[in-house]
Amino acid sequence: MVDLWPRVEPLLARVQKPARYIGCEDGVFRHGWGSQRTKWLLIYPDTYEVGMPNQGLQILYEILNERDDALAERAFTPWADMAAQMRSRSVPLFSLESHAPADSFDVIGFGLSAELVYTNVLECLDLAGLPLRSAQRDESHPLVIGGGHCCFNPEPIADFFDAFVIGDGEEALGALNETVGAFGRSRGSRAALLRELCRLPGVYVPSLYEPVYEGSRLVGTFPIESGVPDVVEKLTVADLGEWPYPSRRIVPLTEVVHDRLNVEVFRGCTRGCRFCQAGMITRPVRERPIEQVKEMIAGGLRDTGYDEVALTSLSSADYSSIEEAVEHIVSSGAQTGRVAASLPSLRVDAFTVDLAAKIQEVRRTGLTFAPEAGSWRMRRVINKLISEDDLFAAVGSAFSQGWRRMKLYFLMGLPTETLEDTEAIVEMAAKAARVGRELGVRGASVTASVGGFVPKAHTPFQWFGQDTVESLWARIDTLKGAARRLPGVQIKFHDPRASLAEGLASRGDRRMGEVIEAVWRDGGTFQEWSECFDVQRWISKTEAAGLSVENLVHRERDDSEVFAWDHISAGLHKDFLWQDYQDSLTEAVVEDCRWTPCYDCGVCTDLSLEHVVASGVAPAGGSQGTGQVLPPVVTRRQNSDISPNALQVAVAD
Amino acid sequence: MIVRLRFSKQGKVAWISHRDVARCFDRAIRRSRIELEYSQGFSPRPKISFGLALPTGAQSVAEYLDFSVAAGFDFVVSELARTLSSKLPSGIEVVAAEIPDDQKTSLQALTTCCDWRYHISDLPESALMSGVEKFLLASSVVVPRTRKGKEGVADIRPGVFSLEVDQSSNDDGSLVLRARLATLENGVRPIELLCALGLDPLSASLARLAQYKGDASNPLEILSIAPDYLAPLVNV
Repeated sequence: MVDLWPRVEPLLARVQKPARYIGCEDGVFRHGWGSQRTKWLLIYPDTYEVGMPNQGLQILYEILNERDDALAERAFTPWADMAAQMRSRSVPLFSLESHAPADSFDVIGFGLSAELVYTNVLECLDLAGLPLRSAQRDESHPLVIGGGHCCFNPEPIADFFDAFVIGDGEEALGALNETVGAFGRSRGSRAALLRELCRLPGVYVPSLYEPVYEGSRLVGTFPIESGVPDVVEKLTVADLGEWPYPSRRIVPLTEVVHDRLNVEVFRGCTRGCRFCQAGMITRPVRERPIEQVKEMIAGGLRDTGYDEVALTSLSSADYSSIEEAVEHIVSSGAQTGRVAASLPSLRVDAFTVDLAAKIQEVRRTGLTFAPEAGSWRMRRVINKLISEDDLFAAVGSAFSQGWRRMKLYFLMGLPTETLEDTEAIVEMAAKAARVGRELGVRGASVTASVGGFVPKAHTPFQWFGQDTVESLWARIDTLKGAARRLPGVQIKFHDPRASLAEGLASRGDRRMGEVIEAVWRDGGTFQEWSECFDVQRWISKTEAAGLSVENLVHRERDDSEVFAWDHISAGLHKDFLWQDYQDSLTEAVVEDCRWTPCYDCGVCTDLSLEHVVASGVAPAGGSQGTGQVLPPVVTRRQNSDISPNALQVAVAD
Repeated sequence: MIVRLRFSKQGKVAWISHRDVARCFDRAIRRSRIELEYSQGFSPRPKISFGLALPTGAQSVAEYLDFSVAAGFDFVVSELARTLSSKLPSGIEVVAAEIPDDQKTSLQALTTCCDWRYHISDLPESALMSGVEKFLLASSVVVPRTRKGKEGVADIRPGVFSLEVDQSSNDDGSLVLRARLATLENGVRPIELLCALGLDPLSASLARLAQYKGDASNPLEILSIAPDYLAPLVNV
C-alpha cells in the first residue's frame, strides 16, 4: 500500500481548512492492508465537514470494519483549492485513514443523500484517476457502488455507477462483500461480477437494464437479459434494535455541521406528508427500543465528550418514548458534565411544554418547527395536518420556557398554491412572533425559512409540474412585501435557481448523465454551495444534450406517465400514489397509519413488514390520530379489505 | 482554582486550527470527568483559556492552557494531567501541569517571548547565513503588517531577541533556523521573520519549542517539561 501522506502534507499550507485532509481522529479503524480483507473506500461527495456527520456513512463504516474479511476507510471531495493542488502535483484522491490512493481499494461506495452532489461524484472519480463511466472500467478498477436516498431514482447517474444498493444498507453489506471478495480471489471478469451482483436483494446494476424510448418519451427500463430482475425492491431493516450502530464514534478534530452526538431513534415515518420523499421511501416506522437509545447515548457521550445529543429521525418528537429519552440526556450530565438535548426535526403538534422545559434545563438548543405551508387549505393539500392551534401551542411552549427566537420551515411552489397561500406563510410567522410578545418575551422573533418545492420520485407529487424560477421569485417578492408590513418576522429563502437544478437531477432519466458530466467538465463542482453554483451551466448543458428543461422539470405528468424509476420499488403502489395525488387536489387527507387503520400504500403488505414502536401508546399531543380534534377535514376512505393496522403494530422489547 | 497545562502538538494533528484544539480539550476534559467552573449567562460555557495561538500547520512542544476547576472537585494535578492526556487525540500530549501560584495573570499577559525553529528547504546555506547576518546588523527591519483590516508596516527588529542558523546537519537536507521572538508590545509573528529574510513561507516548516515569562534578558520557561513526559516527544 502506498502512503501518500508525504506528498499530501506539503500541499496543506496552500489550502483552506487543511484539517479536512488529515484523518487521525479518535475512533477510526486501522486494519493491516496485507490481510485478505476486501477494501472499501466510503466517500461522501461533499466536504469533510458536511459529510462526516452523515449517519449512513458512519454505520456502514463500522459494520464493514467489524468484519474480519473487510476493511473500510473514508474520503470526501477535496475543495477546489485542494483539487487544484492535487492535480498540479499528480496526487490522486486518497483515504483519510491510511492516505492510500483511491484506486488501491476494491470497492468505492458513495453515499448519495442530495442530488446536487452528483458532479462531486465525478470529481472524486476523476481525482482517483478512474474512468468516469462504468462501461469504461474493468477488473483493474475498483467497483463503484452508490447508496442513500437518491438511489430511488438512480437513472441520472446510472452510467457512472457499477451498482446501487436500494434502501437500508446494513443487511446488504455481507453478501456484497463476500461476492466481491470471491471474485477478486478467483480473478473473475467484471461482467460476470455484475451479473452475480444483480441477483442480490436490493442491488441494482444499471448496465444490465436498458431504457427504451419512443421519440423523446420513455416507455420503460427493461433488463437486457434473462436472470436480471424486472424490478429491484428496496431493502428494509425490519428491526432497528438489531443494528445498534454507530457504536464506535469517530470524533472529528475540526468543526463539522451538526457537531454533536447523533442518535437515531427511529427510521421511517407514516405521517404521510405528500411532498416528503424520505417519509415515503423509508416506510414503515421502526423505532429503536428505548433501552438501546439510552445505551447509545451513554456510550456515545463516554467515548466522545460531546456536550449535545441530537435525537435524529424524520420527526423526533413522534418517538413514543421521547420524553424518557430527553430526560436521560439532560440527567446524564452527572457523569460527563452538562449535556444539552436537541431535536433537529420537529413536528409542532408533538412539542409540549414538558418537552420544552426538559430541553431548556441545560441549554436552549436551536428550535425549528416545520409547518411547511402557511394556510390550512395548503396543509391539507400536502397532508401536513398541523392546526394553527397546535403550532401556536408549541411556539408558546418554547417562548414560555425562555426561547426568544425560533425558525419555521416552509415550502413554496406546492400543488394548487396561490399567492394568498404563499402570503399566509408570513402571516403565520407573524402570529407566532405575536404569541411570544403576548407572553412578555422582548424581541421575540420568528424566521420563516422558505424553500422552493422540488417533486421527488416515489411520492404522490411525482406527477406534479415543478414551479418555475420566475414564479418562485414572484412568491419571494410576495413574502418580502408581507414581511415588511408585519413585525417580528425575518424571511430566509433558498435560491429558486438551485431548486431548478435539483429538479433536473431528481426526476431526470438516464439521458441526464451527459448533462451532469458536462456541468462537471465546465467546473461545476460543489453545486450545493451558493458560491460555486451557476444555474446557466445546468440550463445550457441540458439544452446542448437535446433535452428540455420544461419537459423534465415543469411538465405536469398524467397517469400514463412512465417514470425513469418505475423499475425501482420502495414498496409503494403507483396507483396508491396517484390516488393520493388526486386526493390532494381535492384537499382530502390521510391519517397516520401507525395509530389508524391501514390504507394499503403497499409497503407493509408487499414487503411483509410492520411498524415497530417502542410503546404501544401514541405520544401525547399531536393532531393525527392521536386523540386531538382536527378542524373539519375530508378523510379518505380506508381499504376495508385490510385489517386495521393497530393490530399489526409490534411493540419493540 | 486555575490549573495550568503545557502540551505538545505534533504530527498530522498539527494541521488542526487553534479553535479546533480548544474543542478537543473541551471534550477531553469532559471525558476525563474533570469538573469545571462554568460561565454565567444564557449559554453557560466551561472556563478554559488558551495561551498564544499557534499557526495552523506548526508543530509544538510548548502550548499552554489554563482551566478553572469547580469548587469542591478533588484531584491530584499529576494524575489529572495523565488522564487528560490519554483522552486527547494522538499527537496532542500533556507534558507538564501545575497549579500556578499567581492565579490572576492570564497566559497571554504572562508570556514575553517564544523560541521558534524553522526547517527551510530549497535554499543554499550561504544565502540563509548572509540574510541572517544582514538582519542582525540592521537597527530596524520594516515588514508589512495588517492589523484590524488596515494595511500598515511594523519594525520587527526590536522583537527579534536572537536569531541563528543551526549548523548541525539535517537528514532531509533542509536548513534549520532558530529564533527567539517577542510577544506582547514588540510581538513578532513567526511568518514576518521569514518575510524579512526574503523567504517563501511555503518553503519553511515551523515549530514552537518554548514559551517564556519574565524579563526578556532573563526569561523563564512558563512550565518545564516533566522528566517522565520526555518519552513521547519526537522530531524536535
